[in-house]
Amino acid sequence: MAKIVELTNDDLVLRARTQADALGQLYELYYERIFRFCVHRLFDREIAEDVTSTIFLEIAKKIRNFPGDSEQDFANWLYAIAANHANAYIRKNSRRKKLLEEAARSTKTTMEEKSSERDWPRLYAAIIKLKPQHQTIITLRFFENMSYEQIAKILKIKEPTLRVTVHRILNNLRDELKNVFETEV
Amino acid sequence: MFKDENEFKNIVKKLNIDTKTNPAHREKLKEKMLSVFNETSQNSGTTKLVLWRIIMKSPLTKLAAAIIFAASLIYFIFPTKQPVWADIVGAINNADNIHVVMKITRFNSQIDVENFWIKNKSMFRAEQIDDGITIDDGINCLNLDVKYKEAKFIYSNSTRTDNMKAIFLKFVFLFNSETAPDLAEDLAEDYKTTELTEESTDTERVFKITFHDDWTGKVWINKKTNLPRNIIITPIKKDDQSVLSLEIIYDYQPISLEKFRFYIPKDYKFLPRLEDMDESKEVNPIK
Repeated sequence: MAKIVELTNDDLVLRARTQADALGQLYELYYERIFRFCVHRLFDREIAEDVTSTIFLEIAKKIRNFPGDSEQDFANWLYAIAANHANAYIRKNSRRKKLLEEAARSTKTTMEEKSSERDWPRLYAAIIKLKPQHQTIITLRFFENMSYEQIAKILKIKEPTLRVTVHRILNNLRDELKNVFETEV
Repeated sequence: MFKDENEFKNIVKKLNIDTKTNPAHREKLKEKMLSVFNETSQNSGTTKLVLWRIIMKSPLTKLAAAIIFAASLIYFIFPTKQPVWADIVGAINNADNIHVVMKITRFNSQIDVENFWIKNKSMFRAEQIDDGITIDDGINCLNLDVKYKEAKFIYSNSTRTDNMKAIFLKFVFLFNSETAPDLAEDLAEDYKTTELTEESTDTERVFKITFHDDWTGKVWINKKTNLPRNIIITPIKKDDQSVLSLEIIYDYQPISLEKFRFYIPKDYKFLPRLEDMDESKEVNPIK
């Protein structure tokens, strides 16, 4: 008996160019991931929701001209758009300042809180001081657990360059966290 | 303090970050996104370009999409209200053998030729530039990647029957447009067709077709059989597709079953698709 094989996600990507139901299914597959990415990049959940909205609305407008043909291509494209929107948001000084202030406020927490609850705002405060693209790299690599290969494709940079960049970013972060939190982290 | 990448990973892993989604936002955004998508669809003059891109980009659906493209030209240039429509639909539906040659002329003068054979509405063969050779005998489907010298089965019979057919086949052969009614309606409205009576002859009708400001061309229909013989279209705007013209030539002569026989050259590596592996072993389609 022949085994029935469901439409693959690659098929879904192809259909999503012209069919709303396929696009809706892709949305369901990626909404959570993109929202999570935005929270990691932007710290504030409300801002993350706003940016997530912007990202998917852009996808809706551009999907017809999406040049790829596989789910991997789509994911790379989607994350590239997400990274651009997150960076654009952060580049607005007032927002960046707000994010920094919010992160700083969050660091003044009580000792009763779990260390994990304190560490995130502190780490974010350090990450937000990096260049926008470096922030994206850190988020994709360590918060979204992506491979170097995929990050390189999303950001359209060479993998060896990316590896060196990550090494440098971690050095910067180490210094930054050391200065801010001394030996606490 | 972290010493290396792994230690930093561990720090991140231990963070307690609330990334729980808000169902209300999720639903509202989905609704809005699909609304934007549909609006774009209504306002877009690029629907056919999408079909074109599917043809050019999709390794999975190239065959079906290419045939959709070729067939859709016929489908959409004759809105259902025109009497000639029913005749042409009926003629194509009844054609047991269709050989489609697509000649793509690019701006750099390069001409790419792709061939598609369709027999008894169930057997396919495609010879394409990027995707090599695809053979489907109605039971199994084999893809020969000419570039990498790899052979693999890309669909099981049930997949084709249940999915491919549902999505493409009815559409391709114009049984009905139930699988893509919105697209069909959009495109039907977007095509403008005018019979060029001065060019029509005793044996053929010639129509001018225009799709928005994107494509224009001619189609030749056999008066006796109501089958299309030839379509030539050119992009009105010279965009980044670098296609100078597209010619589709139809032939309805009997196609030998040999065209649909599976054959894997000796120097090809055989890579059964994982989902179909058991089945392909049982079938042993290499004769």
